Amino acid sequence: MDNQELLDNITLRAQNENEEQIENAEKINKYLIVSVKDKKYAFHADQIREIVMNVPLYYVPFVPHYIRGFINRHGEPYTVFDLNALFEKEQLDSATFLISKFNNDQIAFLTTSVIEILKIPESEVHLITSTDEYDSFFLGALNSKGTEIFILNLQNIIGRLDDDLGSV
Amino acid sequence: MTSVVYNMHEFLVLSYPELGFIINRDQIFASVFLEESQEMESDTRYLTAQMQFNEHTLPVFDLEHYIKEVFDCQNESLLNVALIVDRTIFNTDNQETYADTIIKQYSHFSEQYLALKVNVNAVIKGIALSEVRLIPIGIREVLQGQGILGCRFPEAGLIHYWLDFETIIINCVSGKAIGLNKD
Repeated sequence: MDNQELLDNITLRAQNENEEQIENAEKINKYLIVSVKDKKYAFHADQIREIVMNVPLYYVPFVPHYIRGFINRHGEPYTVFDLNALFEKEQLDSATFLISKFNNDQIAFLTTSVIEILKIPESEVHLITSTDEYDSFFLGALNSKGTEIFILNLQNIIGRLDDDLGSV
Repeated sequence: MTSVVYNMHEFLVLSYPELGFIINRDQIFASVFLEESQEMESDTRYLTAQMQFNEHTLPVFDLEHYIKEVFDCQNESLLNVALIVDRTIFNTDNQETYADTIIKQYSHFSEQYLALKVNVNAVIKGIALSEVRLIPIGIREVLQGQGILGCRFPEAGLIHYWLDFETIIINCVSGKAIGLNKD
């Protein structure tokens, strides 16, 4: 085996090891942890564009009670979901909004405050298998400092609005 | 250098203390102070009076009541303004619905005109269409179905809703108006 063959052999082995490492590397997701009244929830960080505070909330008629109205972001109306009104049937008194990143709709979520951003390996997320309607609002749960935090399933939360408006 | 303002359109602007409304100017035939009208009883929502306009007797739909009820809006003004609508601009289906309901029930009413009562001044204003936004897609269909076509934010802390009173009136006369925010 000449030096070139040895070099090729070592290079190939190194490449294979790198690929194996990539395959075995665990996926890590970023979550935005927020409080909604006295409960904590997690948003996938890549679904949130920005956090906005203390902007006027404009009333919108003909919508379910958990749609609190519009906020104005750069001249565009964003529909505001009140998660406390949806989960606990009680409207939240707050002015902290998370602007979502959905391409096909302009949606914001009303929260009490933003607590932190966590990086959590996928293996540490517990999936929810229940078919209960309330549980369908969550993708799973993660543990932070001994507290279980539910990860919001935004597709299903928005889907609930479609269902409710479909029944109007 | 000249600046070109394009895609402007005239709207009637109704300003209330905390919000406002815009209505396509092309939908309004005239605007008059409502000095005299006769109250009437009716099963049709917001049809509360009748008035004389030239030689016509017009049904008066209380748009002010609609605005206060639907948008939870306060207004203490005693000004009475009637916006006169030539209903021949309605689409064919809506003209039929209107004829089959209001005109059949109240044959003395004008077949051409109707009136909308408001308690604020209606100001004509050219508005750039680029300022007017559609309702976000998730609730667009239901709001447009109730005659709320879009909105604009003319200044900080103020929203103007774009109303289509043709839809509002037809919903009222055909009983399609739905409830307000519900649990």
